[in-house]
Formats: sequence, structure tokens, C-alpha cells
Amino acid sequence: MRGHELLDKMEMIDPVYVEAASVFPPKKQNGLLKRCAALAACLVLLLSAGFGTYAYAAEAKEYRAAVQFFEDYDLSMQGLTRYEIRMVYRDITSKSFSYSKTAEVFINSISSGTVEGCEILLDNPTSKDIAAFWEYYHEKIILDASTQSYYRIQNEYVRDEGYDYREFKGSYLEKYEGKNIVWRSATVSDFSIRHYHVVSDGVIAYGGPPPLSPGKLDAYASIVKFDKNGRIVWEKRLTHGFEEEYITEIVENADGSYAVFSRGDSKYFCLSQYSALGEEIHFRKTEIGDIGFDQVVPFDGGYIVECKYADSIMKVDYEGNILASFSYESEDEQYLITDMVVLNGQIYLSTYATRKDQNAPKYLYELSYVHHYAAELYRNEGVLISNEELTPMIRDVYTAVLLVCDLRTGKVDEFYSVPGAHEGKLSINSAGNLIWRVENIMSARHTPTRSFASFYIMCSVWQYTFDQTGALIGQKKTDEVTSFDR
Amino acid sequence: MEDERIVELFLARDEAAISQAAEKYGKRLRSLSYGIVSDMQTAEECENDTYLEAWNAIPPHEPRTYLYAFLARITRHISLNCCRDRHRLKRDAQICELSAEMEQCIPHPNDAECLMDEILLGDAINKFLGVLDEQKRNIFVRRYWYLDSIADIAKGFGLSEAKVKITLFRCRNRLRDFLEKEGYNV
Repeated sequence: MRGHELLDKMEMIDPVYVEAASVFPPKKQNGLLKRCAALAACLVLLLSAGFGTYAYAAEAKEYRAAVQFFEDYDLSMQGLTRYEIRMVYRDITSKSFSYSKTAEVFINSISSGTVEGCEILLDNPTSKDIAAFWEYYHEKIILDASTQSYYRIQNEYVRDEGYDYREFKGSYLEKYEGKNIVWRSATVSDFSIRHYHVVSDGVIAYGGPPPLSPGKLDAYASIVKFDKNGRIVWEKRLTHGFEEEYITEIVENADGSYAVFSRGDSKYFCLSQYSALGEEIHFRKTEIGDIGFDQVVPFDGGYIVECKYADSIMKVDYEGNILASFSYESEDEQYLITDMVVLNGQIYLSTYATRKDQNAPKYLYELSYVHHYAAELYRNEGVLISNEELTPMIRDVYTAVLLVCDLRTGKVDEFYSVPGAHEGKLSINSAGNLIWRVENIMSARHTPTRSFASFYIMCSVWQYTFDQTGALIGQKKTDEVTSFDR
Repeated sequence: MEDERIVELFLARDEAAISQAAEKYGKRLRSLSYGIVSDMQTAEECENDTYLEAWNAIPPHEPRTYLYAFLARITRHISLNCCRDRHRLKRDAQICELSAEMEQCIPHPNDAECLMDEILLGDAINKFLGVLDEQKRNIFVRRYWYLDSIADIAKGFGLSEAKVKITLFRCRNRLRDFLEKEGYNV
């Protein structure tokens, strides 16, 4: 059978479907909209309520109570056996939080609600805009390279001639201003630095075994504190008894101590508190299952931790107890959290939304169908998809969304969305206003000969300012340009 | 007049059936045909041919609950054939484009034999449409049943053309996978 025959056979489409499609739907209104009919947030844990420990002799009675409890607090029973429901119920009400399924319940618990928000529309870039943008971009790269201050991680290896093997010698940081090196830190020799943060009195860096060493990549985790001139102040290796442990984030507390967030044996959420002098003063681990976590922001009472690839965040106290977990998801979109800020009793989550694709792994292939479309065009007709056709397709995939959530309940109070924009970054300016810098997609190129990505996407950054009540009070296009690959 | 009553007129061989059908659905059928043939005079001819075909087809058919879909199917069929017969260059180009898109849905397009009978294929297509959400299904039907252009669909649904293209691309891939997975040899 050929295409024209199948086109003819389409006449056999059920009359019900034909009738349903005979009239186009009424037009949607732009501007204020109810975007997320099912945008969900849920409070899954209420420690302050003071639950007692329930001990029912009869299993059935306990099960009924557990089900009622799940219903009362809108917890998800999805995928749980009767036994597991009872165990989670016991785990929560006894405040022990040691049962592995409890965290899964937190993450899976979603309640529906309608949230109102505001769509901030930006005009699609014209060809003139894009030409001006590229010209500016090339100048900008040269300009930035001469003025920026930044750090660079360096790993040193020595070659063993006899075995032709590169042996790790050490790891250090370099600080640059423009092209000039300001200082080179002392070398740490027993671990490889992977990340660093600039803190009030220097730089704190962390990592694990060097990449080329034999054994497990995350066999241990280490921290080194450098002063402002790159000298080592202290160095520690985490010793929590795990076969594998890696540090996901370090946050400087207000008193100069450090909260070290790590993951043990791929199932434990760990929080260690280190004094400013590098002494471990507290440690707590909680089994949460196979949930990774990423960035952390402090608030008055603890920390907000982003659960990686789970559209969710956890509220954690200073001791490392998980107080609550909130999930954010809509019926047909997924939200990837890119930045967080806690301000005036609200959590601001900068996310970008992409349509859910049941045929593709979450987040990994958000452009999978555009990839297929472009690849097919290239394969069948031997032509690259043009920038003019590709750019609106990619703009169509992404929407930057700022979720404004209540710190106590996690409920989304409102949102702001910018169609055609990728991720955003949050900060607070000197006047105490919230700044949301959003990457507006300007131009995309198909580059199939590159080995690591197929699309090179350029963005201009727009800045939105919100006052202390959370009201949008300004927007402007900045001089900043960014890019990302997919 | 109610569809059921119009069908009764057809069954009673009452020529008022044609005028009633034309009064109720003539404009929509003409519009459907015009979307395919791009010529108003030809579209009117196709509409008139539709009533004749319907006159011959009822009975044995009794489309009491789906009269418009029944008539529209005839109009589509006549209009497509008309377009091919007359080799209208502009419209022929779109039919070729649509045919090429349909070819992407066929797991093994070069097989000489057509092993699947019409009823099974119709069932398969409807089963596939049944698993799509409403908007995707309507976009698919507008494109491959009503033969609308991408621009018209985008305008009608208030979507960007890029989104419509991607949606159709996904649907075609899913239909091909569906037919293959279900073991249909088209």
C-alpha cells in the first residue's frame, strides 16, 4: 500500500470522530489564564499537628485508619500494597521516617487545584532581531572574556611511562580575572575537586575519587576549604559508613558553619553540619529511596532541597529531618526546577515547562520529536532544517514558569509564564525585590555533525522584577546572552 | 429537520430528502469540497454528486445518527477523485504532500501485496484514534480526513504551525508504530 491509498482509506475514520472535528474549538484568551488545571502541590507532612502513635491490634482496623489518614492528607496510595500502606502510616504517625516507602509517598502525592497566573508574552524574534543578536553575541563573547572573574578546576596527572597509565597527582583551583590568573590554590592530592562555592571568607570545594582511578567513582566524598588567597584552611573526608557517598551541595549558614548535603549508597538523604573550623557537629541520614537531589536554598528554619528530576522539593530542618515534600506537575507538562529563592514566606521556583512525552525518558529528550523531525528531513531530503523553521519549533517546546508557593503548605499561589523561554535564574536586589532573569530563545541551529548535541540554541536574557508583595513591577531586556545545547 | 427524518425521506424515495439535506448540510459539504479542490464550481459539482451518491446508497445504509459524517465521507471521496482526475496542479501538490505524509504511517510501504482488508484497516485506524487525546485526534482528522492545510489547522485551533506540524509528526509515528505493533501488514 502507498500513501495515497492510505489517504483514501482515512475515509473510514469513525463518523463520531469526523463529527467531533467538524467544528474548531473556541479561541483561547491570552493574558490571564488558568494554565494549570492540575498544577498540583501538596503538603504531605504535618509534624506540628502532633500525631500520636496508634497501635491497633487488628490489622484491618489499622489498615482502615491508614487509608483514612492517606485520604485526610491527600497522600497517594499508588503502587502500595496493603502492608506498605500500614507501614507508611506507622512511619509518619510515629515520626520515625525510617521506612523507605515513606519518601516515595511524599513524592507521589499530588492533589489537583486550579491556579491562576499571568502569561508574559514576548514577540517572536524577527530576522532583523536575529541578525542584530548574532552580531552582538560575537562582540559580547570577546567583551566578557576580558572582564569576568571566575574560577577554574584543574586536575593534574603524571604519566607512568612503563605502564602508559595516567596517575592522579592532585587537584587545585585557579582564580582568574579576564585572562589573568589571580592565584592558584594549594593542591589536594587525595581527591579530585568537582564543584566549588565562593563563601564569605574564601572558597569551599568538594569532590571524590579522581575520574581515572580504579574503583567506584563515588567511593568517598571530601571537602576542602581555601581562604581568599587559595591556601588550605581545612580538609575533611566524610566518614558515614557508606560504600558510596557523594556531596550534592554545601550551603554556608548564617553563623559561618556549613550544611553539607550528601547522598549515601544511592538511597540515603544525608545532612552533616560542619563548624567554620571544619569539625562535624551533627549528622543525620534518612532513607528516601532512589531519589536524587540537587540545589539547596536556606530559609529561616531549615532548607529547601530540590529533588532532581522529580518536579518536587523537600523542606528540611537544620538537623536533617524531612519536614515536608511538595510536588509540582500538571496534566500534560513537566516542570524542571532551575533555581529557587525563599522570600517573605514564599518559595519562588524558577522552572521551565515542557510537554510530557510518554515515549521519551523524563527530561532527557524534551526535544526528541524536533530531533526526529530534523533528522528525518536531513536523511530523506539531504537538507538541514532552516533556522527559520527550527527556531519557532524550539520556542514552542519551552515555557519559563515562575511558581510562587506558600512556604508553609507548599501550595502554588500563582505563577508567571513566558512562552518561548528556557530556564531562569532568581536573585534578590539591594531593595529586597525579586529579580527573575529568563532566557528568551532567539535563534536555533541544527548542527548534526557535532557529536554531543544536535541543536545549538541562543537566548537573550530578559529581567522581570517583583516587589516584596510578589507583584510584577518591571520587565526589561538585558545585554546578557546565553546559549545551551540539546 | 432532524437527521432521522431526512433519512426516512431517503428511505421513502422522497426527493425532498435531497433538498432537506442540502438545506441542512449543503454549505458545510461545499466548504469541505472546496478545501480539497480549491474551485467553487467544482465544489458545487461535488456537492451535487454527493446527493446522488447518497440517494443510491440509502438504502441499504441508514445513517440516522451520523448523516453529516456519511454525506461528508462521500463528498471527500468524490472531491479527492475529482482532484486527481483533473490534475489540478496546485491541489495535486497538496494531495501529493498528504500522500507522502501518509506513507510515513505505513510500516512496510514497498510491500506489493496489500494484506489487510479495508474493514480491518478501518478498525485499526479508529482504535488508534481512540487512544489519542481529543485535541490530537481532532488535528489528525482535520488534516487527513478534511485535508486541511497546516496553516488552517493552526488558525482553527489557535496553535502555532510548528506545534501542529510536530503534533502530526508524532501522530504519524505513533500510527506507524501502532500498526506495526498490532501486527497489521498494511
